[in-house]
Amino acid sequence: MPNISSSAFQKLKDPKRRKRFIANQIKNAFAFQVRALRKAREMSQQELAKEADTTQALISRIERNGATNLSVKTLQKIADAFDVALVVRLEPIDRLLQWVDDLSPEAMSFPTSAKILVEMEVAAKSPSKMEAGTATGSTFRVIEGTASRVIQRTLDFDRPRLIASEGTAETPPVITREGTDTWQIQKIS
Amino acid sequence: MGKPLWVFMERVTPSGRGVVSDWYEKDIEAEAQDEFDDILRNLAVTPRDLWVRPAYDTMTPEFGEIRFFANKLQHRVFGFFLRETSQYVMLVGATKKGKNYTPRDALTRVPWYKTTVLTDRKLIRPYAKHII
Repeated sequence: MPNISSSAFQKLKDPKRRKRFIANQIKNAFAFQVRALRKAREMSQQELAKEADTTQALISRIERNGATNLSVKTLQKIADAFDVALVVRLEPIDRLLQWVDDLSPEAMSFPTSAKILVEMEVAAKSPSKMEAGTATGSTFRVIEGTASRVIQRTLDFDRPRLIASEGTAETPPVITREGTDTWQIQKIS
Repeated sequence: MGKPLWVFMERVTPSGRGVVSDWYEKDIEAEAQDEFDDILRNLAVTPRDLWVRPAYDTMTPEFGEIRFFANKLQHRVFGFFLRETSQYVMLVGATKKGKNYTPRDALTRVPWYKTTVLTDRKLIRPYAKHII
């Protein structure tokens, strides 16, 4: 849940203002995002229009007025041109607030789906992405197979797909990834 | 959650009143408040080179205006960047009809406001009305 200020609560409790807040995500946020993504990809409006099989005038209109009055089909073309996902779904207000609350530049501009998938594939194969489940924030040394390949990582212990056995400082816990592979870990701090 | 690229600041009067906060609370309608909130949230994560029309216009090398339309009125908030601290300082808010601003002297006093706050940094403070 995002932490919401009391003034934001007051505004959003008013149905009119709430509707406007939601509508502004379609208008302003989309306009800013298209411009940010286009610049990040070093594309002109003309080039984006060509990729999206539309006109430069439409791209210009989107960057001024956002997605208001555009068909989902047109939005899909823009998303395809950037190789990103277009999310059209009904969501509760708290989830929308979470998105709006993310003030990071990465929320506006991000890599293509193809690039992200390659990174995910590499990460999935790498033990450096191993995560497990007790003592959040503790630093552990991961001993992977032989002593010559010791990798030190900070493990996020919130992910359920990895199971950690109980361990002590003297007896390091053993973590098992999806019930198959096993690594030993030593607590450092 | 990540940090924004820009933190918004506002000019404070010698008596300690936030000029843009006062304008927001007293002089503009709820529709304009909501539009302004949203524009600021988006500008906060937008690199400087993408602060362009329609949401922003660089008026002179020294200052620019945040622009939005709401309630059948053009709204302008004049200010400038403090790049060394990643801040955007808002000096005064105004509505615009044709070439006329309300308050009338909003635009003409911008250079003076800027000099004032640069001389005494206590005359600016963080502005956070747009933050959820």
